[in-house]
Amino acid sequence: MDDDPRKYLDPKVLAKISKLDLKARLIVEGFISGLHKSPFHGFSVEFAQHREYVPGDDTRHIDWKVYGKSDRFYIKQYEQETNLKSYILLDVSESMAYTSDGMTKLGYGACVAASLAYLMLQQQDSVGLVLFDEEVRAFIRDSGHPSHLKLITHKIEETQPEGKTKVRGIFDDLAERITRRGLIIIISDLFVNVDDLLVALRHFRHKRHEVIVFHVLDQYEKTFPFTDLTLFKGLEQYPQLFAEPRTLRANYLEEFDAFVRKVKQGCRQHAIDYVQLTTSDSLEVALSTYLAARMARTK
Amino acid sequence: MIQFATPLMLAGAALASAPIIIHLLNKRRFRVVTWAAMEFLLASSRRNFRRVRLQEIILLVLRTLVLLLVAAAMARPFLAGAGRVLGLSQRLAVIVIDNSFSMGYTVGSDRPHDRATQLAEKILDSLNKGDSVCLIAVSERARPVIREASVDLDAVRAEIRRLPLSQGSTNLPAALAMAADMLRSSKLAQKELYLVTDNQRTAWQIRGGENSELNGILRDICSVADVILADVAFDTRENVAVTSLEPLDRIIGKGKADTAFAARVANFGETDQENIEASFFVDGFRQGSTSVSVKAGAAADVSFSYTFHDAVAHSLSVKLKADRLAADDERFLAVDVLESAKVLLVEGKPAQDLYESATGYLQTALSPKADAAFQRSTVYEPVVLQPAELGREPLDKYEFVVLADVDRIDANIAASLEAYVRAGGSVVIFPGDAVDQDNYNTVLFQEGNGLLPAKFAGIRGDPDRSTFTSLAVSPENTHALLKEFRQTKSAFLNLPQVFRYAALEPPQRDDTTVICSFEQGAPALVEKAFGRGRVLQFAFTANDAWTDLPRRPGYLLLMQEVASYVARDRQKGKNLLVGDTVLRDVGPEALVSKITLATPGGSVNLAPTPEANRARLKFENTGAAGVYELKMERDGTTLQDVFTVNVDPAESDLHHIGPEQLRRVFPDFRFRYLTAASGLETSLKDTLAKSDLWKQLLLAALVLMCIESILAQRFGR
Repeated sequence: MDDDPRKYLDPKVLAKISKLDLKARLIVEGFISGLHKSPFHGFSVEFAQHREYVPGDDTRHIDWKVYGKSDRFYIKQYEQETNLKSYILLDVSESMAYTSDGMTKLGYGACVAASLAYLMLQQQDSVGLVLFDEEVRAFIRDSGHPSHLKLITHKIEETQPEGKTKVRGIFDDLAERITRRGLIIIISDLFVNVDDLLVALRHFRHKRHEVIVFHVLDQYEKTFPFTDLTLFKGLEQYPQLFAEPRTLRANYLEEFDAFVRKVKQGCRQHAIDYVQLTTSDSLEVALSTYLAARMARTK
Repeated sequence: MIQFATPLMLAGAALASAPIIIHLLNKRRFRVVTWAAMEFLLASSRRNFRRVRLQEIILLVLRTLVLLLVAAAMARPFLAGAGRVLGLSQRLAVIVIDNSFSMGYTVGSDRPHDRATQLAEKILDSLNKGDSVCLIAVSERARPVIREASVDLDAVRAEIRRLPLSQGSTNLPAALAMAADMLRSSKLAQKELYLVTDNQRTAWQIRGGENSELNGILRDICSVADVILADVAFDTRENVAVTSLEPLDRIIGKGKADTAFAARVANFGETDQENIEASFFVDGFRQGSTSVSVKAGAAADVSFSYTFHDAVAHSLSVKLKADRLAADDERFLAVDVLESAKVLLVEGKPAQDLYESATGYLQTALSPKADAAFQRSTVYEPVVLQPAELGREPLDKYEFVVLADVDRIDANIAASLEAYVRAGGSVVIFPGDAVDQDNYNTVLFQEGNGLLPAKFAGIRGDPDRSTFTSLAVSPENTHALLKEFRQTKSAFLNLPQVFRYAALEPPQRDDTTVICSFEQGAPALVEKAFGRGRVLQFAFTANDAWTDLPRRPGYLLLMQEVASYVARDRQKGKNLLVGDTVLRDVGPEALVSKITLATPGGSVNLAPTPEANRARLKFENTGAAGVYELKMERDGTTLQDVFTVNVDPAESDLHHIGPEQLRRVFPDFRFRYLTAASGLETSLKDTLAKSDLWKQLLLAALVLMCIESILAQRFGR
């Protein structure tokens, strides 16, 4: 099992690896190895490789030259032309630093961001990165060059979570700055004003961008399993609260579910893919979601 | 009003602060979580704040209350005025105070009686307005001081303060039976019996380790009421008392030299008493004194003698130097001194020569007139009659009747003899050659139901007087009739020769006793108690026909003793115990004009109650020990009578009975026991708390704990 590349999809395993670009590669390789006979294999304009014909393959792609030489049917595979432009918007606000089991939301989000970037670059798509909290902390223009990954992962690694999340101005601004239609991937815990968020997302949609929202949450945030008397220290300049968690649990979960429901509904309304991730979830989910979105986009 | 039996335990109430302290400690020991989703938490907290605060306060109050209740329960709280607070009705307190004379035992200036009345007042203090009280004084006649439950506590208090120390003994069964009636008849829900006494062992009248009747009464009481036994006795029990004063002879004759009296001095204490001075008084004048030493727990007799010179009623007393319990240090005796005492001798064998006749020796023995020296020492006046004259003679005036060798007794005479004995007279029967034994057996023996103590069964012995038998009186005999024949003096009876004797067959009956026998075991003298009198039956003659006893000195002694033994007990009705009723026939009412009775407490005038053709005098108020002198005018002459009232010697025994013993003897007696040693008033305060609340408190704590768990569960969900 040790050499099973799929193990790198498990956040627990990933947490032991420090270098983000290595992580990204391991994740994607693990993911690809699971995509045996997957419909997501890309087709490029440029020739990539030959593959033996199996009945059912499109006969248009049979390389007749090879047939002439070897008397065997080979299918010609092409590298698809890069025409998808993606921006990954990663939330690096203070709230992303929360963790209950060692993997912070930001760490998880970083893995998602890096592995998506790697996957995109592998598929000749161009990818850009935006790190934000209450303002844009870093903006890397999109590029399809494989070396772009290094830049992206390095930028993510050197960023410390701080500041409040604010989406309204930033997203509006970004929507204006990213002129070409593309795929906007937002990785955040979305601890912002929901109405502001939805307005901002609508702005992206208005600019004809595809939007995927990866809602990264910690398991504890969803279940609130605390029992002992606890002093809750608020991140993002929230005041602290001294409370008996059992007495608060019901109301908290109610509030939290209402928030999630509202975000989900808003996303559905604007045809935005909403994916909830918990830091203990396998990264496969995020990558599959992206590929599914990309399929829809290229067909 | 709530009071606490063990107020120290209230310190446990500090425990109640535990939940608060735990709460505060918890506030300092908490987890710190850096939390991202604070917005929702704050919103939740804002929504929750009021409810949670309320719930927390409720839980805190519950937990604090539980501990407070437990601490309070351990302090054994009680409601002094329980009834009202608990919504019950008022309570009834039956206070039984021992005021027998033993309560007058004085140590310093303190007496159990004083302690008892003070305690009774404390009991009253513990009552509330509306509670009711019955008061019973325990003395010889248990007296309900307040029979109908009184709510006027001040009046009760006045009664308690007035309650005198009596000279009576403790009659607990009567008092408790009375208390049981009072408790049973009361409809109040809460009833208490306070028994305030010096708790003498004798007061409980335990015989053979039990008193089942009293146990029954106590069971009745305990089934309806709480019993508090307050023991007010001192630890010391030293007491010396005169327990009896009696003449040695039943008949006291005028002029008889040195009539002897014996007083018994008993030491009920635990240390030997040396040289107690005992003084002897006649008619109130001191005649002399002697000193006596009595070992602890033992008794000693002191004798006095006196020669009476007039044939009237006299009073005597023996007085010891007063000790801590003075009431029993003097004892009184009233005696009738007689001019003479008539004795009827029925002569069955008249003869010219006095000593040939059946009663000749007897006449001489009872009244030895021939010798001037003896004349003064005897009081008997023999009257000799023929059997034929017996039917016409009223027997009442005789001290006793002797039938000596009378051949036959007819049924009429037998009936009049029976009536005479039943009324207190006595008959002495001697056999002889003339006696028709079958007639005696039929008319007098009546198969054991008649006067004759034993059946005649022929004559044994040797008519030729060549062989003889003797009486066999043991030197250690204990019979009262033979008291002069103890030790070496038994020879007076054992040496004389008996040649012939009547075979006596006494039935096995409780009322029949063989006083002495012959050497070979045949009964020689048999006694039967009959009515208020007694019958003596000899197996040998009164003269020397069958025995040589009449010619020996033992005969004189024996006959004097027989006379003294069978003579009417003249002291019996004259010497009473405290509380007894005096009854006197005073003859035809019309002739009695004025009756005055001088009591130890003062003089009272009395009126006789008419009864058939004569008047009867009844006097019940004999509460004081001492001499009572009765004077009445009848037929123009003044008659005088004296009687005495003494304390009950059983009350002098201050031996105490402890609570464990009481519980053993009376298994159904459940009581709370207070002693002077434990501080009567404080322990009363502790015990008064009839309505213990600890059970209720613990129950409440338990309920609260359940509620707390349920709420905590629910709030936490």
